Amino acid sequence: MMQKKKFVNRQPKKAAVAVIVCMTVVSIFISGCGLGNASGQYQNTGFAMGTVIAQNMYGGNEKTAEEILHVISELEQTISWRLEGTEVDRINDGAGSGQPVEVSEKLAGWIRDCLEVYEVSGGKLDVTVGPVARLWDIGGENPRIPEEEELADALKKVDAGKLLAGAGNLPGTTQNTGTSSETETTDKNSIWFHTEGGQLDLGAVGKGIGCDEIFDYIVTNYPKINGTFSVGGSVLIYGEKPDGQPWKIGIRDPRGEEGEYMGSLTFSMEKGERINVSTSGDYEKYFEEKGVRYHHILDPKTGAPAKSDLISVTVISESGFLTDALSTACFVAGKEEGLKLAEQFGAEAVVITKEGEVFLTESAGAYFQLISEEYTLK
Amino acid sequence: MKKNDFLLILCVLVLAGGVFLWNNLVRGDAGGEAVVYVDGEVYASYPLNEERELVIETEYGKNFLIIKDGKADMTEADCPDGLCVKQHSIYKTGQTIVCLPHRVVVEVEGGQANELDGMTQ
Repeated sequence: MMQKKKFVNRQPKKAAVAVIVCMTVVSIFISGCGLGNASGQYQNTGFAMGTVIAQNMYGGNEKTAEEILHVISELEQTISWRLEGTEVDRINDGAGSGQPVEVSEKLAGWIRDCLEVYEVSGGKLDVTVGPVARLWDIGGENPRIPEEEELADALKKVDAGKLLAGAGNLPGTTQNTGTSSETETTDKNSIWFHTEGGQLDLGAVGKGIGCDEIFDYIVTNYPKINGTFSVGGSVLIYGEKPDGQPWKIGIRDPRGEEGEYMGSLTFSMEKGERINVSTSGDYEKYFEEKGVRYHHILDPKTGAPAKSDLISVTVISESGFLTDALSTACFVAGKEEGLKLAEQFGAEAVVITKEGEVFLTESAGAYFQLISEEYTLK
Repeated sequence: MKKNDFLLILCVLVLAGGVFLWNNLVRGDAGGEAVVYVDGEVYASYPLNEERELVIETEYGKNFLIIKDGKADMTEADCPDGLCVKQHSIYKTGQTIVCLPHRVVVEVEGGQANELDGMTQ
């Protein structure tokens, strides 16, 4: 009987020892393999389309990153207004000629999408803003305040209503082309730009389009990769993180230095799922004169930097294009209208006012977390 | 048995401690390193735990980098926009300082974990 008792008492102790040993051994393995550093993670920062492309992926490598950079370079060859011979350049060359320009299906689609945002937002996003943007040259070599007269002249050339993708008139717009609409071709990849001296400028949507192009490329060629891909600050988040944790994206502090964030967006994603985020703010590109800041988000109606009550707009949507287009349109629209506009498109938004107040669309609260004490969540 | 149990646990702890020290000191992972890329190619890399002042001189221009207190910071550059100088010092894995006109990227590798997976701006 006495022996039995001793035996019973020893078992739990041995078991306890065994458990401690096992746990310690497992800890050694974990620290040794650097799971904390997420093995299989590859990061790359490169340049394409005149901007920084930051890639943070799992399951990819240098070769993947190079290919993705190439996707953006290829996109530049289609949508850049700066380079000669691109599709956009050809459209601009044909502006006011009365002749349509044949473009790729993709570009025609993007232009149609831009025109839809133009319509729904009441003109807050206008991709024919080129002539005015060139005068200000914000972010360029010679930024300056244009003269009243030259600005008025340039403003006459800003009218997305004169830009058509495919046949016919846009609902609600009148078309003064000098030709009847029946003679216009029904080819949906034809672009009519009826403004003499008109300048199509996809700068406000190019990065979001870039994110969509990267998504298409990954889904086709590397569907098992997942990660975040930033095209000049517009971010594509794709797939499930290896440890099953949600992705965390910082929102740049509009009054902080690069790398400083005022809040974060947390996304729990499934395999193959994607989400996009873009931000527009008055801190990205600007110049200052006599204490006044002239930022790069122009109001297409006035031809001057938008007098918005906002300093930053972040838009969340499955479409990269939409996040970029709306971050611009909502910034110009201001807080009230901007939040409504985002919701109209089924997107979520986080907007920051000049007073440092943060407003959200109805469901954005599920993603957003305020981090900086310099701002107040409303 | 009690004594042996104790010795076993001690050995395992010493082993674990040894691996921990190995990872953080001998592998030189403490603090990580600042890797400088020019045009996408590795130009040089510097451990963050060694103080340094250096110039990245390329066909595009000059960038001055200072490594101090475990951080890397761009303090001067002759690029037209000077945005790289405005960027704050970096010390977490994946953080970067970018000079677009000079095609220079300074990135922290093998350093402190970065709680963010990306940044929208």
